Amino acid sequence: MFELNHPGFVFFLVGLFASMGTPKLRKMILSCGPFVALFALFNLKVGTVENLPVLQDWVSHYMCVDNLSGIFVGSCSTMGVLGGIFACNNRSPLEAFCSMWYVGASISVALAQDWITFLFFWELMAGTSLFLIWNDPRKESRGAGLRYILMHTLSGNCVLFGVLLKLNQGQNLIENLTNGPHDAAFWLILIGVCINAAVVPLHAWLVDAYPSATITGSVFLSSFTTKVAVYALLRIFGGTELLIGAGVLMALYGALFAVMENDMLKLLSYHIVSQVGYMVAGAGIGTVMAMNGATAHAFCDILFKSLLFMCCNAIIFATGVRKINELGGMGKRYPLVFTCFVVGAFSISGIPLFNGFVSKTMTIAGAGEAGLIWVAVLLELASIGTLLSICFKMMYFIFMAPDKHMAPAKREIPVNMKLAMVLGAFCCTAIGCFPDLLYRFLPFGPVTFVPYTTGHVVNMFQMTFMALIPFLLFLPHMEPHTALSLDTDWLYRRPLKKFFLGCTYLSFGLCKSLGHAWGVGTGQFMDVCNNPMKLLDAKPFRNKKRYSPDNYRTSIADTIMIVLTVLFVCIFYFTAKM
Amino acid sequence: MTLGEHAPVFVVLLPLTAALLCLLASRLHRELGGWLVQLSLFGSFLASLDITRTVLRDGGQTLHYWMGDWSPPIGIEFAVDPLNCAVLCTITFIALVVSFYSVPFLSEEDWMHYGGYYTLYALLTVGLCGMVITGDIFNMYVYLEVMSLAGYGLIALGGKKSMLAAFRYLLVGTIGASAYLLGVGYVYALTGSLHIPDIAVRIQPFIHTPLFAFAVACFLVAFGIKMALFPLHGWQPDAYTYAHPGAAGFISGCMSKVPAYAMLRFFFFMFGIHNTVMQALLDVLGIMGICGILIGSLMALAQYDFRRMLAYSSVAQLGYIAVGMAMGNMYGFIGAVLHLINHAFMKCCLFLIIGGITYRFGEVNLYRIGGLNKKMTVSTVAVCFAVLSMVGIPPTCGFFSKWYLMLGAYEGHQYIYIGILVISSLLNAIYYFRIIEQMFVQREASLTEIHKPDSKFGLPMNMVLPIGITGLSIMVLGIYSMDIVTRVIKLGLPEVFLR
Amino acid sequence: MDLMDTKKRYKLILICFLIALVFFFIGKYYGVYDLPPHDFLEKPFGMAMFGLIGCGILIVMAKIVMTPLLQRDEDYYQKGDDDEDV
Repeated sequence: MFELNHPGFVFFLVGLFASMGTPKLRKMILSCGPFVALFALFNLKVGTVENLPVLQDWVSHYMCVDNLSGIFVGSCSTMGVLGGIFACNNRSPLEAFCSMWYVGASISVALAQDWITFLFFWELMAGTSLFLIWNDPRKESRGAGLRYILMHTLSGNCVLFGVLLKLNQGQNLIENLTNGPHDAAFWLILIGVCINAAVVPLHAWLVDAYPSATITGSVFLSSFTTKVAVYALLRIFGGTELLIGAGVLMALYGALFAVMENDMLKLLSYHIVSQVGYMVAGAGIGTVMAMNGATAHAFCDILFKSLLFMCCNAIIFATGVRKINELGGMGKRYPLVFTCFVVGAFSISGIPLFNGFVSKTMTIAGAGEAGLIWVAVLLELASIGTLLSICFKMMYFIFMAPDKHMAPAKREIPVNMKLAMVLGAFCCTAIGCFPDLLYRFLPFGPVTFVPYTTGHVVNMFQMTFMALIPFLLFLPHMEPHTALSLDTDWLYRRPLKKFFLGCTYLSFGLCKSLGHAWGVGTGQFMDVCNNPMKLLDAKPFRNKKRYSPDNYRTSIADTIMIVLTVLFVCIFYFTAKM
Repeated sequence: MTLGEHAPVFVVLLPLTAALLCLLASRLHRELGGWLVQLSLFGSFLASLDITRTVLRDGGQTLHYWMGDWSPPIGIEFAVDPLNCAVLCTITFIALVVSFYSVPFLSEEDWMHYGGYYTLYALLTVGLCGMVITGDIFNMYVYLEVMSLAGYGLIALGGKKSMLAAFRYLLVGTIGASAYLLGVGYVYALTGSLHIPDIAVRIQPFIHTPLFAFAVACFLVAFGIKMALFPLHGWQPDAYTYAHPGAAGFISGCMSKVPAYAMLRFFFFMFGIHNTVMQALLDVLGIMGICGILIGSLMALAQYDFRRMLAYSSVAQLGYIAVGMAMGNMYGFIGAVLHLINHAFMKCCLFLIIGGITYRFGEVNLYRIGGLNKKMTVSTVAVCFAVLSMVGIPPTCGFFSKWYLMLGAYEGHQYIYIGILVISSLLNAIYYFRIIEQMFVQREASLTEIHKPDSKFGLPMNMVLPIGITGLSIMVLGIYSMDIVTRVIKLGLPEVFLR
Repeated sequence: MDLMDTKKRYKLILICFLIALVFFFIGKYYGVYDLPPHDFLEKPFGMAMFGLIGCGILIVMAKIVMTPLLQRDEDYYQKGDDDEDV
């Protein structure tokens, strides 16, 4: 009758139950509930298609399982399990509800087959993740959350209009648009998806919002929005060539900004941009190996990125300190966190035996095989940047440098966080050592790439150790400083805000000047006629800059004059048109 | 003739009788007048439901009721077709709900103010309902004046600053009514008839005369003033802000919609849009609509008084209706009518909520209402629905009216309207999400309670029920939008679209 | 472990270089460099030099070019916001 095989709906139920009930019950539901979703995941067979008639003549194709959606659903569910365990101590029912619904919505996007269901769950993702940012008590989270939802509303609207145009053309099932006409629908959906995938220069929301989220919330945030956008790129825009350039730019941009950055979570957020760059480039190249590489990288990235976020959030939870230059010596204090961080750092840098090596090298080899040598070289350069900022800089300055005593231990790291980190590290290592576990599920065709050849391993180690040399040479300069890097969001935080304020004052001025023009005109006429008639009331501004309705009220005479003006203008216009 | 056959006149007669008897009843027992008016509004609502049932039978027919059995075009008739009855039901429903809501606001008034308030309220309903269903344009002037005068009174009852606001409205509104009368005069001079379908036939030879252009301009200005279309909206922000909080929901919800409906009736049904003057009019409407949308949204961004922000937002939303009319095709028309109905519920809900906040805390500054989700849960949920609807997110009703407007713009190849709709959605999101952020996420503001709640919902039951009902209606209207469009609005389209 | 001491650092640098050399010779032994190279990355010691020079370029770009251009005070956005609230 009703088969439990849509993991997304399981997460919705888990979220609903977790938000009601006592904290103890919530702990249990959040840590064990997602395992039920894993069970549903195993029940999922490729080729299942389910429909649901929703409105009168519209059917929602909410579930269509093929290899590509299967692997993304798998990674999202795994992340949901890890996140649930990490977050089960959290006291806020709103956060429990929103984080589980966020996971569920991501899975539903991956399984949706028609545009409207896709869009609905896309918007649901944005809405639920918003509260993970707004639940944080810091002052800057207010503004960050507002900017986040504005960018996502923009993205949602772009996709909405593209979808509407597509529906009008009669196509309501999702399909690959690369070879079709590059019309308005194509560009609108592309822009909407790219905003969510944090393509440079539309990425500023990510770097602004993810560090401002709650401690457990940012672990969830880091994994889903961008990867679901990558899924959308793979399915809808696979092979679009301009994504290659965008991806390379993202990879280098993220790596460079990360080298400058001081705030731990902001550095990792720039790395999200960088890693997604690999996936975007892979999606753009369009060959079997490149797209398989992008998918594999998405899967591995969810694991190691969340592992890194978990380690850093554990340190923030324990000490309350977010900046690298105030930390040091954490390796001795929290050895477990250090070990897991090392696993995560090696994974993201692509060191053999960990899962980054398995996926990154496949993507770069895909670029090389397609003949795009410079793409491969630049992606390799970004890889060195990753090594530099995470593997060398973060690992040294947070864990291995001498303790600066600016980060006293406020709280113990609870068992569930440690358990989640260990599980994540285990997954990373397992896939790194046995790549076939992952390669079996790659959707775009048979995998011909072999990561563990002597050549690859040997070259990788050479590169790593030689790259360590400049880092060591410039070590005193590598220490980060307390500062803010300007990014593309400067555009809408400074000038656009002033622009809106300017427009508001402009419209006041317009209304006021319309009335004032009449007053001036009649006054002069009256003066000429020498008639002591009371002038129309043209009140001057009171001397205050700030807007308040009493300073700027259009007087009644101005209103009446505007009315009469409109009347006569209309009369003349209509008569003239005849 | 059975009672049921008189349903159209009961819609207007019951509140009128109650208005005339209300002061007398209040003299006897203070609250009796209020009960009388609420009962009459309930009867009016039932009558409008009965009319709807009759009209929607057999694929849409027009119900004609001749006053005093005098046949038109000499006699006055009430003509209800599917378009009318939807607007009529909306108005009577909102009137009923808000009359129930205003009871706590009047608990400290003496008998004269209590009775006077409800008298004016009932007269406002009479004016609005009459304007909607009448088929005679001079009769419409009568109801227009009844509605305006009652409206001025209700606004003036609102407190200290409201008298000036009402006076300003009176001045501008009288100009509007005079313009309307001028228009009626010109049309009568041209055609010799005051009956709408009759005029539609008789005006055809005159559509190229300057007098016709004069009349059309007068009607545009008259209805534009009454519905607060940019740039004729100068009276509106003060009037909505300082109106009596008990009636603000009804005033803001319905008083601007009925003139919009009248504009639809006049321009699409009576004059027809396929002549040069009317095409010029649609251009002007489009420009006024676009400016209204942009300037209304921009001004709303700068406000810190909740009610004033809602007032400027109304200017923008009425701009949508004007834009829908200006598109001149079927989808635009449907979008305009749907938005008319939806916005009545949305604005009413929002004004009811701010009235509730004013009642309990006396606070209107939207930056000082932090953390209200714990104290006033029903209001917060209703605010969420209303905000989602204003921004245009499915499945709330606001999304569907915007969808039809966009379909209309796409069909008419007027892509600038699509751009404006997108930009205004974003602006709407900015100034409405501020409220959600304040209510949910900000720390609890320190607010002094003026009236302590005696029920567990944070407000007296008289207020919670209407807020809940209107909030729920927003969702229900959204879910049943398809039904409303196919079974009601499409039956009432003007002939020009059915050809 | 405190690496600010220059002597320790230079010792570590030498160790890294030696380890890289060891891996190079392992590669040579297993015949990784016998086939003609497709591009400069597959040349003998090619990846190693790429790592060295690439890392150097990245450090220079980030610290010397971009930092003075793009870094500001932490409360850069909050400073101009004092006319936000009423």
